Amino acid sequence: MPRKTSDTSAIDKVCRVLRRVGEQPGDRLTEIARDTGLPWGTALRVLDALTRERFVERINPGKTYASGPETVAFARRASPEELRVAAAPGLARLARLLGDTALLSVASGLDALCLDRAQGAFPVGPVSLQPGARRMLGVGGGGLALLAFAPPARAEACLEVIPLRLADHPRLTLERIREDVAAARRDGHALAQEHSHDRVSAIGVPVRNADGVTVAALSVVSLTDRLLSRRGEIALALAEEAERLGRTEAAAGASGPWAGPGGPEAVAAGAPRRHGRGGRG
Amino acid sequence: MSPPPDAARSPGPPAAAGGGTNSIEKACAVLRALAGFDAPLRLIDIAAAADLHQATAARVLETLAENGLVRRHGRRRLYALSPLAGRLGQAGRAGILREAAHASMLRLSVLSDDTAMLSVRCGDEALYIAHEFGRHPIRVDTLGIGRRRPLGVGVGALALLAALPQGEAKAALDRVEPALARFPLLSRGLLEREAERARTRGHALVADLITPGGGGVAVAIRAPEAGLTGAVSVVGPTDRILAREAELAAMLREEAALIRERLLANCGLQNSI
Repeated sequence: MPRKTSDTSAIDKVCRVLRRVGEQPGDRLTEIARDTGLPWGTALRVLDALTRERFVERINPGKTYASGPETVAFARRASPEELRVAAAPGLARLARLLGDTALLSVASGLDALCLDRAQGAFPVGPVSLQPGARRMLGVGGGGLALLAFAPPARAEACLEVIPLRLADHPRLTLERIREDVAAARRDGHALAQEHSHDRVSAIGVPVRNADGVTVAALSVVSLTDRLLSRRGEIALALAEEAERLGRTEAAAGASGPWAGPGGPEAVAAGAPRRHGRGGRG
Repeated sequence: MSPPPDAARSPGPPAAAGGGTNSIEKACAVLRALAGFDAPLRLIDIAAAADLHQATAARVLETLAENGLVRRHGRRRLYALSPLAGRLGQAGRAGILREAAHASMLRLSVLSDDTAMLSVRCGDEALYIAHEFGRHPIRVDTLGIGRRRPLGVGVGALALLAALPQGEAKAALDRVEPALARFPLLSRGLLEREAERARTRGHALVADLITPGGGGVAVAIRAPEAGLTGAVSVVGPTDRILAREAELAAMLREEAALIRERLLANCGLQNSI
């Protein structure tokens, strides 16, 4: 445990004020001082220092406070590399249990980015996305789950731009994607039925962390008849693995889809790896 | 007066004397060091970025963790900002701007195939708060989220400088000038001329000034009602930018107007124009 130095107690005050201002923006000094249990003068001094650092700013002609611009960069996504490591056993279990190919994907801009996959042993099956491959959000099991279970404002922003890319997806229309999104939200899992090819369909589920943030999607791709005849079983198996992955340290830290370092696929494009009992080499 | 060693990072006036203020700065330095990274960071890297001794950084991190703003990861000494910290910025004005700009940023990256960037003025600096990447195989390195540049340095930062009233722009350049030494191709005179050209054209243009081979076009988002000025830009290989300057500028102007409208609506303000 750290010693309770004057540093520690001053930083305690900073944390209390930062949290209070961020959680209930638009309040005055009096209310902030009351709720943080700080004397009026101390609260003012902390607020002034945080305002200089631009972690807090004064709004409404100087009388009330809100989080400053610097705090926007506090948002984190789950680290793709950590997610991939944490998800590997679950992908292998899904492939072994179902015999089909299981995939892990994350949202990256307007795309779902495939981070990893495990191939099932069933001898006839579709050629799935490779790790590192991208496909527009709303397309395929993972992409549909990521769109349907994104924060609503963010999903709407994507749906506004999706028509610009529909030329790449001749089987889909905006209406079809909206219908699939609505159905996914209703069912709790996304069914992408023959989005890209005849006879190939996928089911996807969101991976949510303890804070309810969708950090990734798990999906299973298979032949349509094989998939639909076992839809309940597959959705359940996916949901179990998604819950397990959502409880891992890799998923825990994410506050949402925002932020991220330099480039979007800095971590993505590893060589494809096999899990479970071999594959369809 | 000589400039402080890290003028670009701490533009504010010197902190008032008084117990604890220095601790506040330490806490802010640590939070800033962690900001903008998805992967957890090592203590040694955090201490270096925050310019603190490791023991001090460790103590600050422990206190931040006790208050729920920082998470320790695994058994190793790795730290990252918590989901709670991540949500702090959403209700601030820059957070509202980022949300209001999301569709526009995606559209710009799809239509241009290059990188769309969103920045906000933060004192004498441009703070980068969002980016979306297009599909063109050649990409110019851009600043990450939470990174900053002095006003004028970078295409978004130039649009922000040009958006200031002339008197304020001059005062800002007085303060920013010492930091220009780090950018060999830049001078105060050049930034004054470029800002003037941006005012005349209605958009900022940068080619090969900061990154050789890279350029960009930017348009300011003026929203005094919401108390902020932002800039939206498209950045890419210089030849691609120059060949499409007028087209990109028109695209950016349209999106800047839409972002402004949505920002004001999300702030509960009427769009008065």
